Amino acid sequence: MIIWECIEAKGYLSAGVRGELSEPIKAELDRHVLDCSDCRGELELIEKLFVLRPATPLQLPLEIKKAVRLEFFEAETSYWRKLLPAAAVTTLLVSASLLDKVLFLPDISLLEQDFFVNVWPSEDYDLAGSLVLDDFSEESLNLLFEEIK
Amino acid sequence: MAEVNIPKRKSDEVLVRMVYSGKLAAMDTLIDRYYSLCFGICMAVLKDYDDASDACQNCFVNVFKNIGKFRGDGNFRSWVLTIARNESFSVLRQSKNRRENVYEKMEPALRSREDVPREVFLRIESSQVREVVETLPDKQRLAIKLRIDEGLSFKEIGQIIGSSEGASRVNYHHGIGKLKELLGA
Ligand SMILES: [Zn+2]
Repeated sequence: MIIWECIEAKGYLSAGVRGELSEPIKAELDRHVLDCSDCRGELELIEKLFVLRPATPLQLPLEIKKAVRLEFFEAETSYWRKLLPAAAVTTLLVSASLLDKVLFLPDISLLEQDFFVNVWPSEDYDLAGSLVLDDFSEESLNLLFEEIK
Repeated sequence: MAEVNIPKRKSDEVLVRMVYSGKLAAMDTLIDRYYSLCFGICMAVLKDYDDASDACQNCFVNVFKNIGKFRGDGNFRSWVLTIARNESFSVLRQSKNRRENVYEKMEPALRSREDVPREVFLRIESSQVREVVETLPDKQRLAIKLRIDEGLSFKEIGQIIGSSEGASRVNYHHGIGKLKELLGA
């Protein structure tokens, strides 16, 4: 049997009150406390202090998890929010260049400069925008066909 | 006989690594493991349910917001203690004027159903103890609360009250001695 000193026994009192001691140590402590009025007094005081401890609110873990997730979610959205203007500008540029290709081709003035081809608007819908090849030399036509091949 | 696989409790270190790799479930497990301890510390410092709940929430938000700074060389528990302490003292600074009559809001916890009659007896006795505890210097009161309610080591108590392990041990024993004297125990 271990004979405990009071100082050793007192070191176990609060863990004993919280129910954290192993059986053999608990038994030793009980034995000491039974014989020692000083330690018994301190044990009673610690028991009274322990019942004063506040209960943890039941909703707390849920609230913490929500708050943590919100923080993480916000961090992610603000990351995207920072990227958003750049993304918008890129989209605008890409769509503008596409619009240019879709709506303004063929660009008549450019065609005129590059291919010495006469293109003009016509009241005739069949001819509108199409190339008129009547007055072309053999050489010019060959060059043109090379370009559009 | 059929073999039973008992799932091993994952260490804090493993869970922290899982959080690093983006597993939210690991975060929840760490919260479940430490919210009660964290609340206990906040409550011991702040003595107010709402303030302690706020501080406890902020504590975990900061724990995970700064998880990248946690290198794992200290332990996670100790890290939570430090942040809980810092959050509590920061809330305390902001709400010192709201600290009157806070004990009317406090609901003491029950240990278990079997203990009820003894708990009731102790509670009646404890109301007197509560008043006396409040007369203790802050460091002694905190050392007692953190040791008895939360089972903190003297080293951890030192971390919270800003003193050495030895000094927090002395604070605890002086506090207990003074309570015995005042209560005639
Ligand atoms: Zn003794």
